[in-house]
Amino acid sequence: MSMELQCQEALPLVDAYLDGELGEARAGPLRRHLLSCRDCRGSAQEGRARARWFAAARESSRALAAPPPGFAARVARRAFAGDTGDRELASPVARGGEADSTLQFVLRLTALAAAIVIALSLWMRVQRLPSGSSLHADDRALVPVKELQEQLERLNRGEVGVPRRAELERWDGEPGLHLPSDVSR
Amino acid sequence: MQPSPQEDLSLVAESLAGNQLSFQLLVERYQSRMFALARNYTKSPVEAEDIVQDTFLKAYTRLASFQRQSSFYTWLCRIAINTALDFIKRHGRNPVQAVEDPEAASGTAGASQSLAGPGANMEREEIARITHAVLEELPEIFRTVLVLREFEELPYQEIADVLGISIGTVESRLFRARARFRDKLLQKYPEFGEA
Repeated sequence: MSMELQCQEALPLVDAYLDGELGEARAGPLRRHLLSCRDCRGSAQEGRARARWFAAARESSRALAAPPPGFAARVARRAFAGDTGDRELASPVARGGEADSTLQFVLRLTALAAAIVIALSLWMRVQRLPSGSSLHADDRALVPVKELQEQLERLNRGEVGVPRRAELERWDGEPGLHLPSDVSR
Repeated sequence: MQPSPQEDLSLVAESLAGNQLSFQLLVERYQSRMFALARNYTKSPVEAEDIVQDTFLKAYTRLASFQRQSSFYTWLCRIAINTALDFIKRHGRNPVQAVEDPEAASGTAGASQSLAGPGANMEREEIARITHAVLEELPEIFRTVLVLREFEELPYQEIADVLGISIGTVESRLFRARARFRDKLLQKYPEFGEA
């Protein structure tokens, strides 16, 4: 006695049928159902379309999956050297390989250069800081105020003219306040 | 040509006896398939190499525990899948987990549209790229069963061995996985629906 399959029973069997995984006991009733059911036949056709889809993807994936030269020998060596593979996998940057080594070298060199620049700028900064126990913004800023005052007063009284270049240059050479060049000259 | 299981067993025995060359031959036999398998879990060739390398190293460490009840390849596949899943978890790319019962036979999200086959002028590389993009979005449990069937072309019994589940479970899980694949593909790329 052969029981007729209903769609809800037939549909889950279609994939296994297309995969060749159904024994004849289940494939026979399914075939009969497919002959009489347009919807389930449509599912089978879609299954075949999907199989073609995956076949194309499979071929392409396999073509891309070539192992690098010497891989087997390298792995066998590591295995016999006691590497168990039970470890945190290294990041791509930390792995071996010529390109990775070059990248690491460049990164280290950059870090070293940055450290040197920072150290140099700190050293220069320290050199420019005032030394000693007293704080002076600039030694040359010690103003001969009295002398300047006297000059200005004499100038006001008309006793002297505008300071001559020689006098100004003398002040330039001495510690004290320097007149702005655009004012005095 | 498929490697002979008998030769695999000999190579395993010789490797266990300390013959490094025999283990190298075992690696050579399966390295291409392992690389293809790993590429289903990562786009990066460098990461794929890490996964495959660690798969073989783990296999060597556990060689003595190989029971010979399943084929060497099936046993290796199980290690490779676990290694790949550990790898993507460790790199912060948690595999998508199924929120529904993957073995529930009913409901395939009822896509109203059917999947058409790839167009004759479509490049295989493009099909592979699209396929992997869709697989990436599937829950891990569906992705793995699809990879084992569609890419590794394993028979249901071997898939059951790799995953430690029954053949009936393989059948229903595959059915659900394919439905999810079709739905996700049509959702992302509606142009592949049948007109």
